[in-house]
This record gives sequence, structure tokens and C-alpha cells, in this order.
Amino acid sequence: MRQHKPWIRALLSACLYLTCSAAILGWWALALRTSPAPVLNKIPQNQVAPIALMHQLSPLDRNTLKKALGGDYALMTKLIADWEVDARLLSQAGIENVRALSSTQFLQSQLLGRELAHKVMTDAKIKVLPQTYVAASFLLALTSPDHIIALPTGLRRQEQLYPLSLTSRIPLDVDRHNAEKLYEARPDLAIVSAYYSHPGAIQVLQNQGIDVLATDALGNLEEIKTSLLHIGKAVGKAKEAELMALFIDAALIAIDNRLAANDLCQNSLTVLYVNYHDQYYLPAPNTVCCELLQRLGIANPRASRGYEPIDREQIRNINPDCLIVSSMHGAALKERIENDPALVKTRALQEHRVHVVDDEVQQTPTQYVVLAYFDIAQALAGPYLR
Amino acid sequence: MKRSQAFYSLLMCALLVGIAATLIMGDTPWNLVWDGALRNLNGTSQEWNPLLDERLPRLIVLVSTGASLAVAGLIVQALFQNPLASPSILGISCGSSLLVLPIFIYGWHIQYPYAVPMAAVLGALFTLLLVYGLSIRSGKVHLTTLILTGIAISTLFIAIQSAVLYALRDEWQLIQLITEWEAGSTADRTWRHVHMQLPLALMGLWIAWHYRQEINLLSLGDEEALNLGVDVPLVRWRLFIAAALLTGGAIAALGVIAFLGLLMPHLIRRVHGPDARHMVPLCILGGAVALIITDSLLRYFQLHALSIGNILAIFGGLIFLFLLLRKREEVYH
Repeated sequence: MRQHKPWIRALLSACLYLTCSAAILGWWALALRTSPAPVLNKIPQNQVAPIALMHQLSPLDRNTLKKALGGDYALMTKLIADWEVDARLLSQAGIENVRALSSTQFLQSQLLGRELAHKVMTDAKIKVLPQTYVAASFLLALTSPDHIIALPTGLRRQEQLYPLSLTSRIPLDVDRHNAEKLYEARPDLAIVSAYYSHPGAIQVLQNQGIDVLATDALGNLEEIKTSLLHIGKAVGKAKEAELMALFIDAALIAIDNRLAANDLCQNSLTVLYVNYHDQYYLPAPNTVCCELLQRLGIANPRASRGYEPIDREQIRNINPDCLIVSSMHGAALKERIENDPALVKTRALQEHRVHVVDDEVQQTPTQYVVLAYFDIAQALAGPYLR
Repeated sequence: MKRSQAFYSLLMCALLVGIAATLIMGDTPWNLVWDGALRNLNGTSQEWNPLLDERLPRLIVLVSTGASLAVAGLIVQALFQNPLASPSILGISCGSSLLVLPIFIYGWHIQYPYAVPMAAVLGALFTLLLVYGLSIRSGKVHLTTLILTGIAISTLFIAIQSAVLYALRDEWQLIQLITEWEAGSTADRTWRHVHMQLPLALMGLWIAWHYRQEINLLSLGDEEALNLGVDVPLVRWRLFIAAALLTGGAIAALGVIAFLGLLMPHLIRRVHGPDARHMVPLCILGGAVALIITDSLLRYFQLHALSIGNILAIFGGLIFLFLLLRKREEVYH
């Protein structure tokens, strides 16, 4: 074999590397050009014409619900009363399947509202250390932040639910490495999860002589309300907790009534609800999310098979009228779905019925389950739910 | 010779069965899929087609990933003259995973779909350069230094990744996302994944094919190879680049698939013998078959709780253990 001079060999080597790199980069440049967005139908006009009856009903908007769920008991009481009137109006108008709180529940809610409105602050003044998101969420609504010693770190980042102005008043984070600082704050009660709190952390709390309240896993609405009442009782806020539990019921019923009023018969629509992380997943059965979907009359395709990936071919074959995606990446993901050639021919995309809902709200087994329900219902009803 | 031909034939048959299963299995009835594909090929339709736009890209990604990982394993084992070596020994996989982490943390994978594969490839190449750069002493790279540097860098990257994940432990959705990605998945592979990986895989496989004779000689040891006329530093460097391209491309396409790179060359060497001239094509075939068959079985039995990465790691570990135990028995007797 003929030997080249060193500089020629170096030159040949450089040429080889450059050619190889250019081949790879060239391939990518050609292949990864952005393709034109697929063509979608125009937004159908018939979606923006709420019926006349809707104007007679009290407003039902997300911000008001969120404010009430954050612990505004006067607003809760008022809304429950408004929705009671709405239910009667709808029944009078001949709308079927209108529901309301039972008269006992309704009276109890109004009574609690009045009591709380005139209540002189007679707090038990106990200091609580919530170790779980659920307990912290309930406590932020039930009691003053001054009575909460620390918060789970991740909860502070959920600013769409817990405003910074509120969480910043609680300086400490719940952390196993913070045990001494947390102890210095002298909590009277620690609320832990029987399922996922670290056993070592629970042991430390017990060794420090702090009372420990363990909550169960929350897999449905009833368990959420039971846990709320349990925690409320433990921190001396039983009435607030009871009113909040009634409010959760009333709010869900109010949303159901709006859907019934608009004759939005979900049974006739194929609705697909999926989670998206780095691919699509069907939500697992026996979760709060599935209970909400069932309540809305959405028979999510193949949800009985459990928390499982679903690929675009399957979504395309289901061909949903409405696609609801629960994800952390709202607008960006929606844009990506709308430009996905695999899904462009689905009825959901053609009819502009792709909705990305906030995954953190959807997954929360707290009082904010009402917002999760509202988001799904709004995806179905659009402007009819207001 | 007959045994070699039989082995080739067996792998080819398995590959064909796997290809057929991958292309045929799916939710859409075959006649609809086929009609749509014909319309697309005739140019009478431009509609998305499950065969052309979902199953075919998945098949190509599976073939090229399986081939890439097996050949990358072969290269690294030959270069280190160690049958226990795998691409992870140089920290290539860890570098890839580490660079992908910020993409997920900042949510760039949604806005920029190419960010994940690009980061995986760049991570692999960057790690290779780092390990190589740190191993050079007086213009030469010693194998022992290279292995130790690779292990050190690999350990460091794993530690950084663990630290980042620990710091983000409250972000359970992010942790879920990263876990899913690291487990490897073949769902929703598109032409984007093919284009991202294929040039890297072809380049890497071409280098391996081109140097298949040298791989043979290098596995005898550096001095032997040098005496037989191999330009050891140059060939070794190029083969390392090939391993980085193959591993980075595979991670970019499917996520982290453990054990295939270690196990496949082992199995083939055991059945066929150590001749790298045959090992390269057999690893290409064997790797592709392993991934295609595993994916088809997962889909057929609807084992959604496990990812292809999990399954291959479990079976790979068991088979490897079995081989080691058998080897021990043989040595003992």
C-alpha cells in the first residue's frame, strides 16, 4: 500500500471528517425542515350561541370558584345559595336531570355560612405541620397561614392554585433535613400520609412528641371530603371543613346542571381524555380523574385497561369528537397537536375541539378537584359553561 | 461454514417474521392500512397512513437501534479487549442522558421536538471527546487510562444526574416524564426519529464495516495489531467515534436500552465464534431481531406496564447471568 506524506494524510483525514459531518448535517437540514401546518376547518359558528336561559343564571366562572376554594367562606355561602336558585329556575324551565343539594344540606350550608360570618376568632391556635400536598392545600383554605409551620416545596410552585402572596407567609419547607428547624417551630400536630410519608420522618416526629395524624390514600371524591372533614376537625376548623365539603358537592352539581341546561349530551360525543408526558397515556381507572369523567358521562375508550400508553394510530382510530389532553405544557402542546399530521383528520382537530388542561389541577386530590371538573366540563361545553 | 450459513438464515428468518409482525400488527385493519398506503404511494392521497407514517418509521428505528447498540458493544469490547465492556464504560450513555435532562426540565421537548435527540447525540459526542481528551498523555492514549477515565466520567455524570433528580424530587410530573423517557419506548416513533438517527447509524455502521478486519486484529491486543500493520491510534479513535454515533443515535431514537450492547456480541460470539468480519453483520442482524421481536411481543401481549428497555434489561441480565454460570462450569470442568 502506498504511504502518503504526513501532511497529505492529515489533509485527507480532515476531508474525510468534514465530508462525514457534512453528510450528517446535510441530512438533518433536509429532513428536519418545518413542514407546512395541516389545513383545518374553520371554527364552526354554531358553537358561540348560548341559549337565552343562560343569561338568567348566576355566573359560573373559574376564578370565582378558585377564590371560594381558597377559603372565602362568605363567597362559598353566596354561591351555594345562587346555585340553589339556578337549579329551581332550570327545573321550572323544564330542564331534565337538574339536581341540587338536599334541603338539609342546603340549610346546613347557609347556617354554617352565617355562623362563620359572625364568628369571633376563637381558633384553637394550634400549629400544624402538613407533610403532604393534600393536607397543606386543605389547611391553606381552612386556617390562617400563621398556623401552618411549613409547606411541601413543590406546592409553592403551583402558583396557579396557591398564590405566592399566601405561601410566602410560610417560610419553612417540609423537608427531612429540616427536622430541627421544624421542631423549633413547635408544631402541635403533624399531618402525614399513611401511604407515602417516609417512615423515618414519621418516627422523628413521634420521637419529638408531636401528635401525628395519618391520612389515607385519596382515590375518589368521597375520600377527599372525608379527609377534609378529618383534617378540619383535627385543627379545630370543623365548621369550615364541613362548609367546604358541602361547597364541593354544590359546585359539582352546579356544573352538571349547566351541562344539562345546554343539552350537551356527552353520550352522543366520542370524547377522549388522555395525559401527555412524552407520549399519550390513558388515565388509570379507580382514580379521581376517572370518577370525574364518569360523572360527566364520558366513557373514555379503553380506560378499563389501566394507565397505559396510547399511540397516535389508536387515537386516530378512536377519532374523538373532542380531545382533552392533560399536560403541563398548555399552548405549546396544543400547537403541536394541531400540527400533527397523524391527528389532523380526526374530528376533534377538524372541529377545533382539542383542549389542553392543566395536569397539576387534574391530578390534585384536594378541594381543587372542582377546578379539574370545571376544566373538563368547559372543554366539552365551551362558551355554554360560563 | 454450514453453521455460519444456518445462523445467518435463522437470523434472517427471524428478522422477516419480526418485520412482518411490526408492519401488520396495529389497531387499524390491514386492508384499510394497505389501501391507504397504496393511495399515498400512487400520489392520490396525502393522508396520514398508519403503515407509512407510524409502523414503518417504528420498524426502521427498531432495526437501526438494535443494530447500532449491538455493533457499538462489539466495537467497545474489541477495543478494550474485554468481553464485559459496553458503550456505557466510556460514559457515552450517561453523557447522553445528562444532556437530555435540561431539555425536559425547561420543557423544550414540546416547543422543539428535535431538542431531545439532538441533546442525546451531542451528549454522546461531547462525553467521548472529554474522556479521550482527559486520557491523552504525551500525545498517546493508553487503554487503561481510557477505561478509568471513562468510568470516572460515567460515575460523575450519574452522580450529577442523581443530584439533579433529587433536587427536583418534588416535581413528580417531571420525574415521571424522565422515568418514562429513560425506560425507552417505541410508541409514536415518526420519520423525525428516523431522520435523526439514521444518518448517525449509517455512518457508525459504515465505519464499523470498513474496519471490521481491524476490529479483529485490535481484539488481539494493541501490539499484535500494530505489528500486523494497523494504525492503532487512528483506527481506535475512529471506532470510538463510531461507537458514540451509534449509541447517541440509539438513545435519541428510543431512550436508554440497557444490556443489548453488552449481550448481543456475547451471544453471537458464542454461537458463531469471534471473527469480527462476520461479527459485524451478525450483530447488525441480531440486534435488529432482538429489538423487533421484543417490541412485537410487548405489543401482542399488551404488556403496557413494562417498557422495551425494562424487558430487555431483565432478560438481558438473566441471559448474561446464565452464560456466565455456564462459562464457570466449563472452566471448572
